[in-house]
Amino acid sequence: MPSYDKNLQSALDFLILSQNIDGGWGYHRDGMSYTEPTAFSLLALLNPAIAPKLSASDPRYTAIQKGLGWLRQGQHPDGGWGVFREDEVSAWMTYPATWLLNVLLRFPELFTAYGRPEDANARERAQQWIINRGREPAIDSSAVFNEVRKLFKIDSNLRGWSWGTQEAGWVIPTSLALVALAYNNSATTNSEIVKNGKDYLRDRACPDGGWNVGNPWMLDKQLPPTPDATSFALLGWRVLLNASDFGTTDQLQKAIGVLTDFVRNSNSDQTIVLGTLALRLFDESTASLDAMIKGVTRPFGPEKVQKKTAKGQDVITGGWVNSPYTTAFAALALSETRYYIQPA
Amino acid sequence: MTIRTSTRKRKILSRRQFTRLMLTGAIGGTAVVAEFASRPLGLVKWFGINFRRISRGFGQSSQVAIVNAPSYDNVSEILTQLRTAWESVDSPEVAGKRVVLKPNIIYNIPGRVINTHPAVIEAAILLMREKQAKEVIVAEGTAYQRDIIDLLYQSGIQDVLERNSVAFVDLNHDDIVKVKNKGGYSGRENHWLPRTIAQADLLVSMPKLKTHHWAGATLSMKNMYGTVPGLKYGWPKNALHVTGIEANIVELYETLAPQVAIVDGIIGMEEDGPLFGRAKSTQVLVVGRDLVAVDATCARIMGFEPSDKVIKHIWYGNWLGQGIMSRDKIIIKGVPLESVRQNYVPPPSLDDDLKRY
Repeated sequence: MPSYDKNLQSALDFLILSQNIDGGWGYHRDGMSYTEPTAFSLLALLNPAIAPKLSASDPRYTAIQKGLGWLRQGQHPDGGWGVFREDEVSAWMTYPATWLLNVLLRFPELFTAYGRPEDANARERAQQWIINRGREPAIDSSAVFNEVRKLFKIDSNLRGWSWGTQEAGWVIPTSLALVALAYNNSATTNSEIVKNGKDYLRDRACPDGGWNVGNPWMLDKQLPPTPDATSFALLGWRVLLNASDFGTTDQLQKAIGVLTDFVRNSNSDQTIVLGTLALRLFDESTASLDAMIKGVTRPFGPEKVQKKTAKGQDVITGGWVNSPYTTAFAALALSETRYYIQPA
Repeated sequence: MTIRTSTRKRKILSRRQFTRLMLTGAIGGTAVVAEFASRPLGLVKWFGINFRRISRGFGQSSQVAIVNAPSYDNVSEILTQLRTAWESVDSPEVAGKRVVLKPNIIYNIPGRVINTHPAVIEAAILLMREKQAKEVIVAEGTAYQRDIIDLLYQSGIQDVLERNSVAFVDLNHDDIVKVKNKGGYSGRENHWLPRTIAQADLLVSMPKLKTHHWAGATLSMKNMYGTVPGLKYGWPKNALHVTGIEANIVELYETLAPQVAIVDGIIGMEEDGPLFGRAKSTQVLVVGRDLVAVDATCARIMGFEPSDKVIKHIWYGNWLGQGIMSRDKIIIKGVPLESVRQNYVPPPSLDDDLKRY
């Protein structure tokens, strides 16, 4: 198997270069800091095979400490995080922030180097927010339940997680919330709330495979799947999988097939990177890594001229589309171990 | 038994005093009632709205241009028609301005006419450059997926962007800034908006002429939903639905930068819009800077009467004094409305309780 260590190291170097002065990361280099890309950038940098060995004078060590500082300072008294530092309302980016804390607390060598005593309590408060505030409210009207069933063909007794609070659940925040709750936590994995969330994902899957925002049907018509929702749902699914998920349904295989097609035909580095990350959780084949790194060339425009549409890894900066967010996902995909996902 | 030790004179109000007391009570009572009735707007806002409405009664009108555009095949022909429309109404000055074109780009479903056509977008780019805009940007915050890149390729818009060297901004992942909510109808004090939108000198709303199963129709005002960032409001942006679709539509209209509309009605959508409706050849472009008037005109082209409240946000926009809905106060330039009016099949009507889905 080829080694992608050089690509991984360049990707991590890009993350260091693109860290903002305040310690956070954005969706674009030089863009403002947001909680989600900060959490994922840290998740990539906190590779247990790399991060614990860094000396205190290493720029990566400094970047990680600074980034963790940004994140820790951003947690609200209610346990959640806003979308960015000035955002006083806790919302969905609490889920990736909690995911990061899960990984930091899971590996003793990471915790020794970068953890703080209050991190366990921070994670506990965050998970309480996720359960009490992030989860969508129950439907208390049988008339609404029946109407939703009829129009959208979904079971609104299955409660997902919201983008905000006290709102409807959707597939991407649900997937992230499930990882935040169930990572390395078999007790939570078997809890009714998480089981309900897993059933939510099953219920919201598109009939022909994959996921979209969370409406597989809209007034008797199928709404097609999208690569981002399918990728995040597979990430969530991977954490929750157990033996009973195989053989009883081909939903998982259909989703993998759908995402494989998306990745194969996409012109977007973000879709290719995130899709590759999700697919590698189920198939360690490295073919998709090559496309992710080299980019893709396709016929483009009315004259069908060959054009590099997805650029791949930038050979100078080491990043993807000058985005810390996309590069963080790429670094996770390039990692030799799946430390960031703990199978149930 | 009570023994009176002094004589008390009974105070009797004079007629004047009594009248003053009653008047004070009536004014105070009216103020209390008005204050309650005006919530959540508040008395000051309520008076401002009524003042706007009254002053509109004294001769104000709006201009909307309707031009024929037979097909998407020839961008030059579309540009010619668009220029005619633009110059026939009181269009805003563009020279020296940063102009953001905001089309409707949602999904790529084969056989469905969902997105603003790239030929119309290209014509708008060329027109803005003709009018010497300092900068032209195309921007969208698509509602059903986080990554818009493949949509740009599949829809043909990427080709237009590259051919014309125009930047595209994904409004869902732009830097976000706080903007004071000028409306106050949704209960929010502020909006979080993309920096690209907050810094625009002119916003050009470029919707598709489509029905919409939540809002009645998606036209130039509803199209501005796509300016709010998904990072803050989710995908889809149902967080706005549950605080009132109409309230948020009119509020955004009031809060955002000066706007003008270019409606792609060459092929519209009837029935179950905004995604699964049927294509309807209508062969028009509609242009105007009063988006209430533009939407009212588009509704009439589709065969709907906006005063029937089928498309509520038009009615509210009119009521709030944001623009003009009344047919006799809209001056149509170009082709007569009656010559292009059609009978669009309306969308299914859905219960308000379901809007969170």
